[in-house]
Amino acid sequence: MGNFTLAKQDFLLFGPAILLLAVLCYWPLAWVALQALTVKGELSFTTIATVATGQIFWVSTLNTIYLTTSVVLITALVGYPLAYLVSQASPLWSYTLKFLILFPFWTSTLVRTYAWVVILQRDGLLVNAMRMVVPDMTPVSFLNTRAASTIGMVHIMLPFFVFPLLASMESIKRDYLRAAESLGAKPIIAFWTVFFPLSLPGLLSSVIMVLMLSIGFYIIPIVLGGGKGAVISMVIEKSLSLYPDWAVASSMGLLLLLMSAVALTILNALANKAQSIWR
Amino acid sequence: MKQKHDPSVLDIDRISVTYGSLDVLKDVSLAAKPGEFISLLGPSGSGKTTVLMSIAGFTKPSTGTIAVDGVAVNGMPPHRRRMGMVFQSYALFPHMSVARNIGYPMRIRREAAQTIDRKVAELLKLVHLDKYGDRMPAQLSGGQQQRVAIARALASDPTILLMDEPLSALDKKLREEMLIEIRRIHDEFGVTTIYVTHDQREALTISDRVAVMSGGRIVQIGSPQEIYDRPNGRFVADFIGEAAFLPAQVRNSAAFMENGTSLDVRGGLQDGQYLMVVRPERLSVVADRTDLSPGAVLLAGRLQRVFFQGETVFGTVLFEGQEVLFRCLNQSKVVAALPPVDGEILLALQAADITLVPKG
Repeated sequence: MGNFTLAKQDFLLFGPAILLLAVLCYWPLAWVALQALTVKGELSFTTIATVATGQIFWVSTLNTIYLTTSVVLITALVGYPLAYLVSQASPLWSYTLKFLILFPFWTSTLVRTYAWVVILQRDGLLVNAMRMVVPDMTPVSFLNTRAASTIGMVHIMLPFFVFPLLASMESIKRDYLRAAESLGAKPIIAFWTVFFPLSLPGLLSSVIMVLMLSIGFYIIPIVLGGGKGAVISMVIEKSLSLYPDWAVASSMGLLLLLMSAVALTILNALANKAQSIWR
Repeated sequence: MKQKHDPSVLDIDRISVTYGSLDVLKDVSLAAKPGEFISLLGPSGSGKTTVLMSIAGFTKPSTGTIAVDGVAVNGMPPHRRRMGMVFQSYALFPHMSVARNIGYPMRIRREAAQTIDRKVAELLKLVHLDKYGDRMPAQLSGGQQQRVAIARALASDPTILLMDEPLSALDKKLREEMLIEIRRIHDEFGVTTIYVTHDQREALTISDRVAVMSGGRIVQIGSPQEIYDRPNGRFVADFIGEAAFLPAQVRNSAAFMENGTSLDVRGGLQDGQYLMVVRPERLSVVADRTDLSPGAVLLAGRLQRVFFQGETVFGTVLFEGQEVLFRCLNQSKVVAALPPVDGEILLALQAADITLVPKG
């Protein structure tokens, strides 16, 4: 609020967090910007302009947008009904389901990614399962495809999507839906006119969470996607080993940051627009 | 009007609700005439909200039937029952403006935009919120939100208006104002209303009839005067108003107090043990033992304490080992006549005010 003032001792409370962010985030970011935007100590946009107009950058950017969008959409389609189910379940069921959703968190992303390799590879679990239905199927690998990357990432992202959304769904009073029904709305109409709009802020934070995590994801696209549809994080990694300095990689990093900012702005605008529909 | 037998808008016939091994409602029956205002009054856990939820369709009774306008609605989902419901929490949709909230039931029914606008304006006027249509619910005070909730419930053109403790979230002064407001709106709209409350003053003030509930049953139902003046048992007498209970008995159709004082009770009472309901305001302080009207009962006790309460004076008296309360108007003459604390005080109970209820 307007009359919020800080006492000296308050800095003791958030000082450590600020310090951590400064050392581990803001300072490296400033360093990256410096690498990208200077040539021999002089301000220069030559590197970033060259990178931004290069074909490799644009192809990998389109790949990134394609992968991120499909991951966000599929996660939302799977995650929204799941979060809704958990929010409406009895306390015991809700607890059990939350535990089941969180359970994969106990294993590292890397281990879970290689589990997908076991499932999707030639003569893997998926092919063997399919052979039970079609015995003379030719052995085929599902690895090194965009689909493999997408499946693996949806799997990792699901809890990140479900929990912020769930928090907002659980704050929607059950009386709102009862009121809507007593006023003549079928349950499905009550859902679309009352529950869904009220869950939008939560949906937005979930989408942002998954979007931000997906846009720079590296492990899964490289392990499950292989060379297919190289995303921007892979190109950044390659340019680090290819060029003697960090200028090109830093430029791509900055451009990735810029794309994230644009995506965020668009999402926020959409959400505000959506909110005003019901007013 | 046809002079036929007045049909019931609502007819609840022996419904029971069970959760696991817990009986929440046991054989509850209730009928409401068109335009009637009925309160369900009882302590928390007495089942009054469950009755309301059963009428609205959110709770399914295990036995019994609920009929609206003569049609059984047991299997009917809530959205088809045409019950306007006002929730304790108001349940105004926070993402919609006041006007959108009130227009909601009409938009659901796909009425024409002009019709909706006109009706919303009328309803806003009815609840005295003409200029508040564009506000969001969060920008309104508790009392204003309550009025929007009522207007929204009325906008659904309900057969019955159901109100679940609608005033419990408001402060005392506002509660009294809103109570009068609710009754005014009811009279203007003429909609049959079932009103749930744990506050006996609210129930007595606003209702045509009060159903007193306890332990999942309706203990007594009647007009506020009946419930107050002729309670059918200790529970109702104790729950509504203040009362002391003095043991009494009836032998050969004659009633006596424990000390042998004969009680002038009309109407044949069966022989047995009774309790005499003594309400504080029914007792008057008398100067001496001869100053009694015919049939009045004299209670001679010891004055314990006097509490000054503004317009009234309230006192506790020890009578034959039991505490009896009296209340009198704060008039100089009356107050000056009170004996000193610990002195003897004579209280008179008029014959017409003697009420016996069965013991236990």
